Amino acid sequence: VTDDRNRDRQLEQALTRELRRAEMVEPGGECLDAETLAAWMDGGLGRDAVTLMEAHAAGCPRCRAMIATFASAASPDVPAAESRPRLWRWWLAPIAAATAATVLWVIVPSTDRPSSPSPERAAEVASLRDQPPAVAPEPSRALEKVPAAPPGGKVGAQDAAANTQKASRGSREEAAASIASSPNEALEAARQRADAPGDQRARLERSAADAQRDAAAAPPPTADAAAFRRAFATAGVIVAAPDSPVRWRATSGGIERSPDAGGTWERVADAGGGVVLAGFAPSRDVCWMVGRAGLVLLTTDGRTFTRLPFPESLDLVLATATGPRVASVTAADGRVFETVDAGLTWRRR
Amino acid sequence: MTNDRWYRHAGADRWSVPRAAFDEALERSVGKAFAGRTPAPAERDRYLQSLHLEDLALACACALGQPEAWDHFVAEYRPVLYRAADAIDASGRAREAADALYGELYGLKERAGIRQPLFHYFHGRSSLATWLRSLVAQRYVDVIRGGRRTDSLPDELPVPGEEAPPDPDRPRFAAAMRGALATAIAALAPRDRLRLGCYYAEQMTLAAIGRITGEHEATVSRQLARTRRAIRDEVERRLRDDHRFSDAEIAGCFASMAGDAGAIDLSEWLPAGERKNSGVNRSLNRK
Repeated sequence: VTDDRNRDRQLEQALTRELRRAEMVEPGGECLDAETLAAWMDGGLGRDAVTLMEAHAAGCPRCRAMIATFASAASPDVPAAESRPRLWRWWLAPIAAATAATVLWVIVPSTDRPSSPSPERAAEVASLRDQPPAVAPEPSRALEKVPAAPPGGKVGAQDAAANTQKASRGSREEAAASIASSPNEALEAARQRADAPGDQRARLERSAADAQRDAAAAPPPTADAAAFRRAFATAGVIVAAPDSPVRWRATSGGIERSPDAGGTWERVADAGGGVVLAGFAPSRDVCWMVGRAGLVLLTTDGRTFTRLPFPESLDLVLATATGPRVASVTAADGRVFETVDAGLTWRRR
Repeated sequence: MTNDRWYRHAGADRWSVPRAAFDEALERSVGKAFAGRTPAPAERDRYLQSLHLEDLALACACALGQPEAWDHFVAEYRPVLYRAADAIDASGRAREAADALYGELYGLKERAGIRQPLFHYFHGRSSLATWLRSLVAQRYVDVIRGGRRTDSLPDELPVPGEEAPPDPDRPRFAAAMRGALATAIAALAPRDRLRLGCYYAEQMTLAAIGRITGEHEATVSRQLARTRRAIRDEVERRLRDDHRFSDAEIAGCFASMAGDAGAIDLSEWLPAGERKNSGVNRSLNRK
């Protein structure tokens, strides 16, 4: 019996080695593409097609690896962020939903969110996108949509005009769901979420949690991602500190700080004469803000922002950082610059 | 047969998708599914009814660059992408692949001045979320495999029998064993071979394999045990009949594949964190 089991074990070791080593059987047919694999996994293929796919994948190490990788991505027992601390409780959902929406807005700016109340700001952003300036809403109508460029920023004047028209049709509800631009509006949006039906609220809560998680762990973007985000870049910046209710926002009046997740705001600095387009906070005391014409601002105490020198007069549209010394910023043309000495020197990546 | 019904069913007007664009997406989907063959109207209807039409409409709108559709897509599916990427590789390499997808989805690269959005390759045969997971998986595998092509040799598994053997018979036994094993595996039905590869080479769990093959994990386990038994019988038969090996020599053949270092630690072969439960005893023979 022992010999028999030993032989089985030896066979399993042999199978593992040989099956991993190379193709043992010539795979017929074409390799799986992502769409076909997805259709297979969701039961969208006919029986004949499944048989063909199985026959190919059985002999093709690349396709088998793809299946295994897909299985790990789709595995219900591997929640991606389970190891990360949960930052909130269910009863915080309405408030967190509103604040997390602002985080999502910073990381992947939304086209639907409202513009800043400042007309100059809307013009600044429109010019950044090489579009005709949008019609800025009145301050009292701050929840209306700002016209948005399609991804890629290749928008003709006609499209821009169409966008402007579409923006004027934007509903307050949609805009409120996208972002609230003042504390009262944030609370109102939170109340609306609290009143939402159960499943809708659950969805909002899930999105909020995901957004918070993503904000905490988002890596520096690739050039493509930067281009994508650049295309969606619009006015206004709110930066959330991880694991903390501290927030910063850039307004036309300068930089403001909130110690209570947007409940109250206190002006702490001016924007150094520039326009802030993005920000990132790796901790509750450290916040990087970047903007037009090489604007880089840094605070290490949460309150005092210092303007740092930047080698080129570029529009900086994205910032990520791991602390007060190491940060990377993405310019509107997709170039990425890094500093490891708190902004004293910058190196192109 | 008009496509209006499917347009309405998909809610494509929500994203202001032009009817012509949606029709094109349906035709692309039909073309892919039927591989160029023109299906009968009833067959076509059945197929279209089975599609994830709402997701197809959203993909269509995103391909056209509709800002509201993109807004919705980013809000709803970015977390899906990131969760999938983190589950694949917690070190962040898969996230890079996920991040790089955005540009492709929109179609930043042009051909003959025309954007080529990746969304055009979504045909509604799966949910959008499944397609995105599949895309991340595909890109990640290609990145890893591309990296391995440029890696140095130590990543390759040692080939049994090729290292300097203390036993002069070992290379002969190993070659015979490998040949018999390859023949036995080649003779298996594709599904048996797929289960085997997923379990032994990809280190997938029984449950995960079951999700692929549509079987309960107990069935997968049973089938794997049956296949392994069949392989062993076939290998032993070939060694005995083709090579005229004695029982002792056949035992030597099996031993030659185990290498000369005793039990093989699979975790040495697998990149850290690449596979789950690599330290678990995966023998189907365990009691």
